[in-house]
Amino acid sequence: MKGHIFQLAKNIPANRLWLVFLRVGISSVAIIHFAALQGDFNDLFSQDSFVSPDISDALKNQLLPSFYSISHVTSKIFGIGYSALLLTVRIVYPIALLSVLVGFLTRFSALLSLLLQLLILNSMGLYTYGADVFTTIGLFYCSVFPVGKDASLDHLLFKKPVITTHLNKFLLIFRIHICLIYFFSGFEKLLGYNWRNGESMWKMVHAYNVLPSVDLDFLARTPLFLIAGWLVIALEMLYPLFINITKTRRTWLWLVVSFHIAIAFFMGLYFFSALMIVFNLTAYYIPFISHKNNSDGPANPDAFHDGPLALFI
Amino acid sequence: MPVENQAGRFLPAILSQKNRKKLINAWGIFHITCIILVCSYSIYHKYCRFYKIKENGLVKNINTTLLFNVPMLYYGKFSGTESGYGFFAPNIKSGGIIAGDCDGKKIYARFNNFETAMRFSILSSRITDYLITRTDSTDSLNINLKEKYYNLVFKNIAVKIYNQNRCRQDTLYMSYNIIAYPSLRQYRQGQRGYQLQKIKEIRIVKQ
Repeated sequence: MKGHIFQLAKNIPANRLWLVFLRVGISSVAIIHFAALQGDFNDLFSQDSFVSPDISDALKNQLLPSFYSISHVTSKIFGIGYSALLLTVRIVYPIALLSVLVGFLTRFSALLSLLLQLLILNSMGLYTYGADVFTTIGLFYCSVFPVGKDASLDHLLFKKPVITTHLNKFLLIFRIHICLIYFFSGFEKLLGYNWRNGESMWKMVHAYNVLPSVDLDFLARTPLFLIAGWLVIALEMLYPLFINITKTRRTWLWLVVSFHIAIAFFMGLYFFSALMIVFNLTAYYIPFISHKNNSDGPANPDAFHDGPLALFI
Repeated sequence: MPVENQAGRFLPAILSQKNRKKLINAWGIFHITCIILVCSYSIYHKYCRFYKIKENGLVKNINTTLLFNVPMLYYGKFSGTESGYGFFAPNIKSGGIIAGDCDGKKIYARFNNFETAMRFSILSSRITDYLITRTDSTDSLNINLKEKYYNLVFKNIAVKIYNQNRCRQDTLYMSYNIIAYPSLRQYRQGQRGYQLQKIKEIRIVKQ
């Protein structure tokens, strides 16, 4: 099985492998993330939830519908009530994500997944966090980029020709987005004095620690928290620079991946971290994997080396 | 008029290779510009809020004109670029805990998995954050409406926790609490242990 997957990956031209990785990575994490909610699904969405749907609906984004607002319409027209609608979405959303995963009607499935994900988020506005935003970003790119052209059912069934002219542009846009995310995240931390004096790291260790057995209080008199705070700021703010320099790219990539692994295990933000790792590997690791049977000509993974604006000219 | 592209397929003229290139270029520039604008304003807004500085009217107006219109709001929503990415910044919010007293015991919301428990803690922290910063707003109507709304949310949660824990008492006390840890400086000065600071309490009576 492992050998088969490896063979499949080898058959994909190097400059398109990142698209497959993005599709599979985002859809896999989104499926597992949605599955993780199933045990308490009714406590979040049903009429008997912590915040009942009518109350939750009052704070929803008015641009998009929620389960509650749609159920008003569907119950009048089709006789489909709130519970039936909830069940429908509960079944259709993972199917749509599975279709993205296997690359079946990929663009349509990604768009459907995106719409359903936004509907779910709009129905649980008070419970949303960073991982949800990054799932939206991932599904949006799966809807825009030609992610279903390789290693997909679409490729097997429809045999559509692959137009590779703009792939480096797509990669560049994706990379710029990731770089901006890290830069602004670091910059915002820099503005808060608590990140500069170590207090934020100290607070994080206590208020967001899901590993109570790990007690770092004995380090309070050392400058560790101060240094850690500055390291996080530097890692994020300097990301756009060092990730795009060939010599430092690999080091910075593994530093950032390690940083997200630490966040996952220390703060319990497993899905947020998984998504960020998928984004990083998609942008700065997978495009640099090259293999001999590259039928599509050489990849241009160093999109930035031509100058960021070169691809737009 | 149809034209032939590189792949030898006939496409409408608007999707010819040249136009496709222009379209992707235009979208790319638009997309990146949106992200930069949204993130820049988000930083400025959070900075002003954190340091209690009044926002510059011109900056606010430009942001409202450029980004706070229906097409842009839709675009931001669908592309995940509607808000900035400064998580846990500029400051880390205090963790909030919702706890009740029933039959002489502390009761909490119950979950079957970690992910939902974490999402609930986000809800708690969000409400706690509102309770702490509610007086910052100058819009009294907004404050009043939000106060009523969060009271409703609070009561809803209280009833659910009451039912989940099969509480037999007729009266339930439910409170929002902040876990107050000593700061790094306080800890160095010898202050140890944490306190649960009650910031709001309500009484639910079974009828």
